[in-house]
Amino acid sequence: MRVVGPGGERMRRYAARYIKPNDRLTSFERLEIYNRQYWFRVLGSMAEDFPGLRKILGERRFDDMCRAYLTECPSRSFTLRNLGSRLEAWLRHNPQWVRGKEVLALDMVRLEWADIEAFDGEAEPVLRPEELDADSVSKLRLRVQPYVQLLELHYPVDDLVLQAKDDEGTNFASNAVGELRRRMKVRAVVALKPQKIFLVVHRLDFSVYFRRIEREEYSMLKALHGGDRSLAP
Amino acid sequence: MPYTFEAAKITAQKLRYVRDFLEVPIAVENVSSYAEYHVSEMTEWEFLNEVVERADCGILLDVNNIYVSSQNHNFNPLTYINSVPADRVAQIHIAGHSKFEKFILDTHDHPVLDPVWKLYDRAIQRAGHTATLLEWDDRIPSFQEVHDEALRADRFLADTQLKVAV
Repeated sequence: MRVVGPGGERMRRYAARYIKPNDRLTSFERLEIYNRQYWFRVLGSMAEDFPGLRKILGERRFDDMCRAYLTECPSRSFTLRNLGSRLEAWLRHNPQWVRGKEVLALDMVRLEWADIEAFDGEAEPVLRPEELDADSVSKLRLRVQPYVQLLELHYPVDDLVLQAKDDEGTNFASNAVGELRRRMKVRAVVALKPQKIFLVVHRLDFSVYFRRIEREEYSMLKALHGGDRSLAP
Repeated sequence: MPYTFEAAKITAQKLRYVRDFLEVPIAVENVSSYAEYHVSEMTEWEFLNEVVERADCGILLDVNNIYVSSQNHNFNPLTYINSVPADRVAQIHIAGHSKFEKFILDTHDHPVLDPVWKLYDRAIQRAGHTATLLEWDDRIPSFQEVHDEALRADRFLADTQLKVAV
């Protein structure tokens, strides 16, 4: 917790103005419980949202990076969902946290953020067959759903993130991570070689899907997503 | 938040707003707490009662949270259980917690302790058969262990049936 509170007052004195001490804890110590739980919660949320980046950086460096990020970019949203919204921009501005793995780490952050956006991003109503008639056909415009994310990546990070999510699910259920599994995780990151891929991240029935597409498909979808009217008949 | 009449009024207003917007019945949960405020005008259970009466809503009674708060703030948890309006209890939560040197924390990562089961027993005696949820969301053991822990609640329900019959 910060040593100095609002107005420059020492935090211990500031806490004592509002919070009662008890027979075991001072006012400051009681406030500190909430402070620590807040940090546990937001760090836990970042680990859940970016398991692939955590795999790339390692747990300790990832936690330190998150603390630095959240100190500069604290939560300003009612939902933890938006906690990582500025992470890519912040990492580009603070590359020391991903030094030696900049391209790989940024690819991973972009993919993991795209996963979040695709999951609950805005959707436009889908045209139903019964709404089609001779009059409406000429007015139709083809658009890509706003929640669809299109990514041009330098590494096949989709494989790594699926493995990371699988590992997190296993860890959550088993309550332990063996040394062998740790070594396997490190090898998976080290073995990842650069490979340009084009990815669509979309959702169907509340599940998010990654789909690799060709460059030409990516270009077409990108143009449609951006409202390129040169594709109109 | 501090337990003041003004805070109760504002909280109840927001609850009514949410209930009217969603058009479903609402039940508010008592949280675990680790701090008390100088400006509080009433106990937590008095505050809860004030809120639910003003908002005309239900209570999601978390008996582990009551126990945690009672240990952190030195009050008798049975006083809390005996004070809530039993007819408003819509659901009950039970959970485990963690003990530290100077406080306990609602961590949901242990089996339910005996003092909490005792509070659950009293809550069931007052509220009758009530939907109960076991919260265990960290350091989770096998499904069988968690399921067995949840089923321990049945013994209190069986006791209630016997008492009702008598």
